[in-house]
Amino acid sequence: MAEIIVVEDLRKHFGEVVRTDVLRGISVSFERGATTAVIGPSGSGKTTLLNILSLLESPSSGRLVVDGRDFSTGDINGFSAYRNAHIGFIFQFHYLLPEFTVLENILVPHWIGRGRPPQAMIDKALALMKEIEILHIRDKYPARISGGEQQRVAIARALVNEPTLVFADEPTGNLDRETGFAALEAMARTVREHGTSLIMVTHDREIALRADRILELVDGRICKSFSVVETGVDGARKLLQDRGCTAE
Amino acid sequence: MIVRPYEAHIAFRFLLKGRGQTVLLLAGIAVGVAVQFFLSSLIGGLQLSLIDRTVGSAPHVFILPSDSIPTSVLAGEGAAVDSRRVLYTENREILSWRSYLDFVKGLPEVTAACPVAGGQGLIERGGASDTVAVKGIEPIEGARIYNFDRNVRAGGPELTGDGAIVGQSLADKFRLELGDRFFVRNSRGTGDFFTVTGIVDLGAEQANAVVFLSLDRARSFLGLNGVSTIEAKVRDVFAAEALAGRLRAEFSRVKIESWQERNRELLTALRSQSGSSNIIQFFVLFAISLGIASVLGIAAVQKSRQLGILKAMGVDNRGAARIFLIQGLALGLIGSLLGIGFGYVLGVLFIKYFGPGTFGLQLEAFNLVVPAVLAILGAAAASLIPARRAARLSPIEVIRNG
Repeated sequence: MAEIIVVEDLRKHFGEVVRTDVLRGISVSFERGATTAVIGPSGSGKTTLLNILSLLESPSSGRLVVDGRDFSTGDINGFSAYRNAHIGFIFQFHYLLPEFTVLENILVPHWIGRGRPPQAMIDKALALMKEIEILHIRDKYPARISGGEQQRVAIARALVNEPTLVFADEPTGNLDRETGFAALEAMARTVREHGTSLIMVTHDREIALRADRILELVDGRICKSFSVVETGVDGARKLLQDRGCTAE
Repeated sequence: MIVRPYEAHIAFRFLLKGRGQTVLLLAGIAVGVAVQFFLSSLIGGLQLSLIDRTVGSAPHVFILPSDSIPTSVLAGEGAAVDSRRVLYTENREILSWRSYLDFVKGLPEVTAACPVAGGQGLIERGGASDTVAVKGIEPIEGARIYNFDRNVRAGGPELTGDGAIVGQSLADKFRLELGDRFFVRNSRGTGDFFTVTGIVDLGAEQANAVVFLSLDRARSFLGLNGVSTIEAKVRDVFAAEALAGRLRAEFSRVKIESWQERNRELLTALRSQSGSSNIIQFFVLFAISLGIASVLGIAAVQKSRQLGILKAMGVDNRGAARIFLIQGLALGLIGSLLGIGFGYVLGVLFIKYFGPGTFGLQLEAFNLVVPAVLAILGAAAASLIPARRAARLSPIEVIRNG
């Protein structure tokens, strides 16, 4: 199956009395193993879309199929085990657990899903840490490391259970540009090496241009959807600068 | 409750890293358990000591002549001939006391039973006089009931001829020493001289206003043909009332009393004391539980971010709740153990420094286990509030709001 996620006419609204439509019918599919950037102005619904795709929030209506399994209806709590086994998260504010060291933070998803990590798992985590250059801070607590390092730890934590999907919400959001790019580079490389599908929300066009595909949301609808691989980076940049929407 | 490894792992880490909070909670629980333990030991000790003072060196069950209205001097064959005897039998004496005594002595729970010829006398020495209880006893059984081996302050427990064992307060008041002679007047106005052969301290002031004589000497002194009471002591003081009930069913011609009947006010006081002690203990526990609930409740709010991200990473609602239940249980368990240790040390120190001269603590496993178990349950119950909060927390709220 080429698609990791298939979405049909996905809608989400908040509030019943004062109703706010956030997603107004999204139909899109995400390619397995590819990196997709979701961009759009604030309030366009990109984070809500990401939350629904990552099974943290239920859609109001529409169809959502992740890796062949239908998640259109059901209880978010009931998807916990699936999230643990198949989905990695990288959040804007990192959200590392301050009570645990870097290495322990990275192993938390394993603890949750499969209990105390065996030595092989610890070795794997250490190898991953080496890969993204955070091995030297393995025993430090999150409060004692820099923002860039924290983000790399979050990346390692998202990847340690070898998920099929990684979701990143503004992964470089509160990092300076240089640190952000370096972290992003590490993430992109690791994701590619592990064949993981990555879907990230960003407001930064330069970051979006590094993805395989760009999805632009405006007002809860898809405005543009194109492959950077096909258009090339310059072509993609031009497409992004165009005011009108190209997707239906 | 099945605990998954990560729940305990995270719970203990939360406790370990929130060290200040954890120490305060543990201290709170420990002090609470220690206070409860100490209080119940103190009250228990006080009550035991009070009961021991009241009945430890006294009989527990009394067989007395019946209260019934004296039979008419004209009633029955030969009654008119010996009217005095019939009246005496009804009011002052038990004539067939040997059969009662043998029966009571044969009961397994009875440790001592003694015929007593008792009455009032007036002790006179120098210009002073005072009423005293005169008690004629069988030396061996009487010594057991009144714990002469423990209570005799001077002389010996033997009673022969005109020899008398006097109570401590009497000895103090009339400056009686071993070998001193003193005069006791009986109710008929006559009297005899007796010699002090022993001084005994029975605890209470009233109990000490007593002159023990040998049974035969007291009978002749008081003008009794039989005995006035049969006194018995039982192994378990609180079983006395049950024994009295059984004896009542067995014998209809005598009156049976237990020490409980004679000390109703004391028992009521003890019950009220236990009641108020229980209320205090309940509120101590309640206060501790409230403290745990509020501190863990705050912890659950403080840890919202962590819980949100943990939930995103696959912790389900039950898991999130259990992280807090485990914390509550662990706090209760460790706090209780500390409290038991603390309470025990407190008790031992109390006995060491305040114990002699006052009364002992009743250090019993029961007093330790009950507050500990209650504290653990209280802590677990208190952690239900943050646990519910943790279970309900939506990961998306945390992620959306930063």
